[in-house]
Amino acid sequence: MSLACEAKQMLEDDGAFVDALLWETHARLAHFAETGEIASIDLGGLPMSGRDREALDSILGRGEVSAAVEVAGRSEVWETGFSSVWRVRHFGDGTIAADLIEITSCPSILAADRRDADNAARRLAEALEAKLGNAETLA
Amino acid sequence: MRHDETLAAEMQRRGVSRRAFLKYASYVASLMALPPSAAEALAEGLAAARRQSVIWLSFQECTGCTESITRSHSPTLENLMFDFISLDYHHTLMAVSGQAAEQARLEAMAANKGKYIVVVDGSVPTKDGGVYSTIAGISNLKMLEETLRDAFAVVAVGSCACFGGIPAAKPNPTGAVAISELAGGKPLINISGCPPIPEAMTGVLSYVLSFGKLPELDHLGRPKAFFGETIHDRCYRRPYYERGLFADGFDDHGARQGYCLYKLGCKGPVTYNACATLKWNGGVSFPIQSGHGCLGCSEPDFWDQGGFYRPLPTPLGAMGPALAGAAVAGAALGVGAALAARSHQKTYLAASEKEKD
Repeated sequence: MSLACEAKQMLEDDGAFVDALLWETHARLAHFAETGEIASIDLGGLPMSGRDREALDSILGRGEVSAAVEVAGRSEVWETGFSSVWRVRHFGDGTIAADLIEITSCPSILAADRRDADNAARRLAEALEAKLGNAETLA
Repeated sequence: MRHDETLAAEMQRRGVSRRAFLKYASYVASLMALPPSAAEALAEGLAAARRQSVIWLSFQECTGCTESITRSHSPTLENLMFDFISLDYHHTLMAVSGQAAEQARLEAMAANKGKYIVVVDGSVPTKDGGVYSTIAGISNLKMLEETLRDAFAVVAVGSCACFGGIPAAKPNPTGAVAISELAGGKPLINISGCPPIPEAMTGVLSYVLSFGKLPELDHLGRPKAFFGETIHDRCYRRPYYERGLFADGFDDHGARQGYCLYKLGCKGPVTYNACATLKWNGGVSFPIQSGHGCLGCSEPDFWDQGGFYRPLPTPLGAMGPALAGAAVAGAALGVGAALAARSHQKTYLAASEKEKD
């Protein structure tokens, strides 16, 4: 193989990197199963090509849950075919802003924060009072 | 503008949940190569913080740094940064002008004594009492001194503010100097580049806001998260360098094949910045990907380093004439090239200094 072909092949070669990433995921998943310690792998700083990402997601597959979060742009969250292994992808303006593998029961971006509940309760009460007011006006 | 409530309370008032902080924190943690586990601490820090007063001073500059930060590639997400800070003074962006603008600066300084951050783009002329650049009749020198007095920290954005940049290029007629020479011991972060990468600016401000301290800096005061590696370290053309495959002209076979641009003057091996990973224009490309070598714009005195198209001196260990040696060395050095980069930079700077003399 010529030097040029070799270099091009090196640029395109994606198998080994994805395998290493999957083994790391496996190690963290096994640790989570044993101890409950959550983990996260940031794919952002890794030198991954589009083909790498496709290969990774093809092997991880899709599981039972998928969700979209609309806050400061869109976020896509799905459980992979391996329980407790999640993919979390945050978008800015259509481009990927952060791309993660999370090993957890439920990614924190999905859970509502209890501190937001107080405000939500107040807004719900206001909505109910407004509804009641409307009904009395009509009566 | 309410400075008394936390960012969480302010966002809640606008109907935005804490998920926004988590998302933004994930983004910043990823940008700054923080452990993903740091995202939650970052989110909590941001949520508990008060809106950060920022006074942005533009001195001898071209407004490219402001253009850069206002054109961040994730507007929806990046806009959050502008919700977290209160840009109390920026004479290009603010609606008011003249006396009212200067009054806003003085009021912000008084209201946030010891807490505000000063961002500076542009160098400061010091010759002849600093008469060569004034704003509202006040010299840059005096305005910087006055504004820094009660600041919490100063962030120099762009190579002019960090190192003097183009205004300080030979023969430096205005006696332009970097902010570091005038900071008077205030905590200083340099975010160099011409212009700097917008994510580096927003990432650093978020870090300071959330953790109340400066991120880890390199020997030039730059955040290691963005300036810890050379362009060459992360360049996608690096495998061609390793094998000694170079473009000899901008339109030859090597250029068309996308070979390494080292022989065409690329300064990637001696330039610390994140262009090769974060890229520009919405992550679309960066100079090397567009077929042009790196100019080295985030390094000190990049304008006076002997020409953008002059190849770097021969790497360590190379034999023979510089260019041929570089090609051979590229192939021979292999992975050692990254380790040599730092020494290589010293060699390059020493050679440039010698040439100047």
